[in-house]
Amino acid sequence: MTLCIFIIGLWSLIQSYQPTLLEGLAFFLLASAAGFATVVTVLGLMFGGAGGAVFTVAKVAEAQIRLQQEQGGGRRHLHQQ
Amino acid sequence: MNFGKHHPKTVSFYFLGLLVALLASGTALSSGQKSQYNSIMSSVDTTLEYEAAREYKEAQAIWYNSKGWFSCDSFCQRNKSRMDAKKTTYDAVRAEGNARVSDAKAVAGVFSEVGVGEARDSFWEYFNRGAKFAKRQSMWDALFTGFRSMGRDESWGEYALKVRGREGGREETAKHTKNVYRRHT
Repeated sequence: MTLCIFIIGLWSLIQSYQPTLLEGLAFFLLASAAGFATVVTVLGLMFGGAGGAVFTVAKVAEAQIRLQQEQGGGRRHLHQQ
Repeated sequence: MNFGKHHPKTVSFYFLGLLVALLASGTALSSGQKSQYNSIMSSVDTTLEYEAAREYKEAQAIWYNSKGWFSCDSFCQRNKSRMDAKKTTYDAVRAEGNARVSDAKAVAGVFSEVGVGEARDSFWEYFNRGAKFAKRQSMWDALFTGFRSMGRDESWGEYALKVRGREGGREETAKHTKNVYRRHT
């Protein structure tokens, strides 16, 4: 949404500089690309970070469960002896 | 990797944008451009614009206080015509100021450091506004998720007591933990 509002407002900003049509279009394209790339990068880092944290916690929990199961199995083995 | 193969235009657009965002800072103004830009900008009378805005707001307040809910008598009509005249003056002053600023910007050019800087500032302003909006929405969402946990046959009073009880329970647990800790140390 931020990107859309920025792109809509961008045209009036460009017009205030009284550029030629070609200049204006080039600036519009480049500024839109820069805005798009920044938003995608920020969102990617944010969701990537959150996903990475969840993945790490899941992996640690899995390892912990496996360790507990192994210890439990070992004790059972000792009792049987 | 597959996304890049299937959407080459989007990926190229992204990398072009990333390059522009990281490296572009605009062309520097020459000394002639700089002096021309500054002289036009200094000719913009901000005091006049401020005065016109203040007079318009005053006239608007006077008109607002004299009008009824759905009616406007002769006294109110007189105030309204005064307000309209002030608004016309204010719009004209503002348009004059904007035209001068636009002339100064035309001297600098859209690809200059002034143009690129303004576009960048505009982007970050919208971005920060969006981030604040998202934060506020998350807060409301958290609040209403709490409300939704209210039972079907539960009144507001009961729900408030339950929430209070939960908080009280937390306090009790904290006290208990503190006592246990004290006993052990």
